[in-house]
Amino acid sequence: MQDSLYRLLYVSRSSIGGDATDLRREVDSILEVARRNNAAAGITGALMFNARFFAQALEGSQQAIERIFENIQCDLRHGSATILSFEPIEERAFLNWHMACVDQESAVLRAFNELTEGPELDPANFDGAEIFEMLQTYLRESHAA
Amino acid sequence: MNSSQSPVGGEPTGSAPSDAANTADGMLAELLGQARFGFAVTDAIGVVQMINAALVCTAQWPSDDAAIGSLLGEQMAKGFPTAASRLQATFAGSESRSLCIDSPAGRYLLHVAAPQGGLRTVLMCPLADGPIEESSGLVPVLTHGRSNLINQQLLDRAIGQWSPGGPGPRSLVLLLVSLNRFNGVNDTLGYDVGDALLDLVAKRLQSITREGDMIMHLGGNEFAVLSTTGQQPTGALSVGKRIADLIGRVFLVKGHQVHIDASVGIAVLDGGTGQRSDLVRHADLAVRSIKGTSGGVRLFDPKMQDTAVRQRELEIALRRALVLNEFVLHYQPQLDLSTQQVIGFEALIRWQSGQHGMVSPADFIPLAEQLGEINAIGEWTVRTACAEAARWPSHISIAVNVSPVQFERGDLVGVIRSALTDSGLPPERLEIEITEGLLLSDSPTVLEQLRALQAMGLGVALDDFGTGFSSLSYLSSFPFCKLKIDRSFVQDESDRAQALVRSILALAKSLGLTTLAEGVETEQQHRALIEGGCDSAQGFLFGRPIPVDRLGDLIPRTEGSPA
Repeated sequence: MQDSLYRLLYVSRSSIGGDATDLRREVDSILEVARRNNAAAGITGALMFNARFFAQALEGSQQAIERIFENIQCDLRHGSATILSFEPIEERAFLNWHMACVDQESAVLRAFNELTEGPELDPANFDGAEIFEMLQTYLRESHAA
Repeated sequence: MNSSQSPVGGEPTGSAPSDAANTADGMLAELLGQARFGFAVTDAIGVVQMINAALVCTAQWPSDDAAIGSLLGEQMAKGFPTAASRLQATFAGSESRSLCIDSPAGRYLLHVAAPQGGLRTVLMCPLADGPIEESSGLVPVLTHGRSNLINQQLLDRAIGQWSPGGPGPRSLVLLLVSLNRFNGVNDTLGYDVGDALLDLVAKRLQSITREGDMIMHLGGNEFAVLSTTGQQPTGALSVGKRIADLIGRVFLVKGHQVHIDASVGIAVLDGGTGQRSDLVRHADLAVRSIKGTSGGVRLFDPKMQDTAVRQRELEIALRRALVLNEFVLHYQPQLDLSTQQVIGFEALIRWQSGQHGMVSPADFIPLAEQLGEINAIGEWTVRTACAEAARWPSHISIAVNVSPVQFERGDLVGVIRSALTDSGLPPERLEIEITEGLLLSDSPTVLEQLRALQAMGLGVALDDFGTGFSSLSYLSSFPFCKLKIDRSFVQDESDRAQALVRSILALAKSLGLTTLAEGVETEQQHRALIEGGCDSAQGFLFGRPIPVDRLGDLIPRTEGSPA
């Protein structure tokens, strides 16, 4: 029996200090490792980040997602991760993307920045459906471009 | 392993080759002792000749000594019942074999090498479930199902064998990691999720600690990390904080989101802890000092020992307090608010300890509950109060506090019946006070006992009303006759608090319950209660709790005063 597909959506707080260059460099290294591990584990997904928050979608078998998420949780470059949803899905939304990353200049990222404004924002207050929609919009638009 | 041929006081013994052999032996023994795979040498029928610590653990022997001379196959068959016959056959046979065997602790590969007629070597390695990740070069803790005792012994041994070495300032640090809310995971999600969670916890610990650090599952919800981090105690504290941070992060286990957190107690050799034999005890004191909070990190402080010593002394003193007659009851008057006359007293226990002076009930009652002394103390209280009240005028009642523990254990109904009989106090003059915590247990026996007490003619008052969970359903399902409104509402003169008091009074009235306000200290509070229709009150405004010999000022005695 084939493992059924799941999707995990989570938001976490960035612990990466420094300027935009430092952030970009750390995220590039995160992405490089993530893409390699995800390819081996049959995981697809997308990442969106700004100076304060990460939002990520992971798709794959339940077991593979749990293993990758555990690695993510051991990474001290972020914290306060909140799982917005972890549910079975019919099909992958990020097929072909071992880890897409929302461009810093895109409209979607501006929307994410607006969403994450405010001094005392708790990751638990994010809406999983909204985050998912933003990630999908980005892929649609960047594909069309 | 100690050499019996000490060179001290004798000739320099031993030739160069035998020294080298000793060193090589010692090195081999030490390496095998630290190995995470199991290793043993047996004779041709499986009697253990030598064995390493990992295999002693896996085979669940209590110690090395117990293992030597025993039959390996027989012992292992106990821990691996599903593989018992294959194990027996392997050790009884004369051929080399490899087996894959399972136990609740996991899957193992067992290899027995049997050269013709000679000694056999046994090698046993844990096999990971599913695909083996490259990073998991060592499996830190596969200890589910091991007894705590063995793990404690292993920890003690590791501490005993540690020797400082390598560059930089080094010290031995023990971090005891206690998981909060772990039992709830086992209870609600099952042991397989609990065990999987323990594995993830071990991996997170491993991700923080350094190569050479030792991580052990001591059993239940406790892990130990033995570390030789540099700069102390800052190094240990930062490791501890990272542990608390990582363990407090949400886990995804078998489809469940699991939240736990960790309390980390730290003891540093030569940094507050002088002897390595004290490390475990000190780290334990540190972790206990923060237990019950939602995680955190605490370094051992000698004051913790003083607190623990005082606690132990207090326990001993408490166990003797009844015999030494160190308890005394004080009585606080309760007034009828319509007549301003004393209608009763609440009996309040005081402990005048010969060793500790006056000890607050807030300190010794929880201790007495924990020690099981509360039943005897509770019995003494009700007997003493009834005997005293029997000498009062017949319109004056006595209220006695009863701990939830007395409902759980002991014969509360029998004790009260006997106290009433012996004192001759009419049951309707005795009132027992219970707290909402009792009702939370939702136990049918609590309700039965309350009904039995009510049937005897006693009053039952609900104490501290409004401060606990205050489920209104209690008011309909339990047989109370009185609500005691907590002092925190009575003394709060804000509009909201006053509205709350009036609502409670109205609620009680419509349910046919009488009311008593606690902690009345000012005339203004007094007036507000009268206006709200409160039946009775107690508080410093009317009188503090006083010893029995001063009661005469408030009530006339029916018998001649004993004084």
